[in-house]
Amino acid sequence: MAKLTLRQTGNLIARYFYQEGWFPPGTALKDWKTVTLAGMGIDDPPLPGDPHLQKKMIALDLQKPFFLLGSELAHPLPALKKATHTLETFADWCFNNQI
Amino acid sequence: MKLIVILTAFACCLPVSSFAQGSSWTSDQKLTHRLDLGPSLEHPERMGIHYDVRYQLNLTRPDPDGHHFGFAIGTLGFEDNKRDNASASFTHTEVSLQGRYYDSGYPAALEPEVQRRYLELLDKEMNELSEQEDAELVQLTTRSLSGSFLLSYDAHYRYEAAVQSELRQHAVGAAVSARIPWIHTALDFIPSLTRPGVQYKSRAVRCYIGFDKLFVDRGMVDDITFVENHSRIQAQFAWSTLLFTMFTARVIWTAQYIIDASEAMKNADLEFSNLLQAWVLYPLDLVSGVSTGIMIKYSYGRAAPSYTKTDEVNFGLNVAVL
Repeated sequence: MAKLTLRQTGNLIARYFYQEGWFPPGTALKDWKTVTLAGMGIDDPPLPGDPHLQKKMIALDLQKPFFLLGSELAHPLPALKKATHTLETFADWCFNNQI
Repeated sequence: MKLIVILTAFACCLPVSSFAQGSSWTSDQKLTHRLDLGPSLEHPERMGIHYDVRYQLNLTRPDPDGHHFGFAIGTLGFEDNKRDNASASFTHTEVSLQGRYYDSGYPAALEPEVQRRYLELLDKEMNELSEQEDAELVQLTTRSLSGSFLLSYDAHYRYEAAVQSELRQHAVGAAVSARIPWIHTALDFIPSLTRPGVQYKSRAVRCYIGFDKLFVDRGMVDDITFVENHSRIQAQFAWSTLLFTMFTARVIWTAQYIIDASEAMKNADLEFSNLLQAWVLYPLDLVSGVSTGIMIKYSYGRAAPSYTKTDEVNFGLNVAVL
């Protein structure tokens, strides 16, 4: 399977979070690298019975385009749980975890 | 115990089953743990350690669409700094068979020319894209987002114990969780009026509904001891939105209905219980994994396992270790 390049991965990740409305208000798409996962308020507040439901959905939403573009992304849920990470760090993780 | 043996045997068979070998299924397994220092969710005045240690085994395919399955065993809970009558300590030890159904809204495959074009556009710097190319990229990315749907489900056995209510019980049941479409649009009508001109996509309401058959070793609430087995339905909803561009409003509502409550439980008003927690947070800072904010929170109702009645407003500093 072909792997996406780091730039392709970064652009895909940034587009996804931006278009899904996860960026903090007033943050432009070009500033995506500094947006933190905590700043996007995913699973905030956590659902007591399934505290990572939203992250699970995002993980699957991201795996699908990788699959359609000829790559395969390892399940990114563990990386999405690292709230202090920026989107740039998360994109690096996705780039390095293509199977 | 019989159920645990069956579940464990089933999970051990999963990776080598013909079901897994007959298609492109692969299995992965991991042990995860999480420890957090902070206040109890039910009793915010109590500090302690939240813990969550679990082993998970998942069967996956490269294409995330469709049903996927897994097995998990773990323990989670909260350990209070004091072991007294108001202790918020509890522990849940669980074995579960898990599944999920996901529909991305995308077709099963992209046409080769569309795939090539998508990669070509993603390979450009954002500021190099023309308006038309940008619109094209938006359209390609949106194809997967507009219709995506996730339903999580499980069948579980759980041992539940809580210090305050002296609760010790076995729960066997099933649960589903998903995002609810549309409701957030109506809920966000008034909050959206406080942020004119701000680009903000309202968040979906998340819900969890579970059914459990409970086998009680011991439980005591309001000086009433109940040991009769019963069944319960649990519902939980969580939602958040933005107010005035700077405040985050959050709501969690949990409810429990005991289907076949005994007379003693009915007399103690335990048949139906619910807890509403609504709070507004003004975020201050995020430094080295510690998020701080000023919070005003309203709690109303009562919830298992302690069933302590709450009707209060709290104001203070919210500190979260991320």
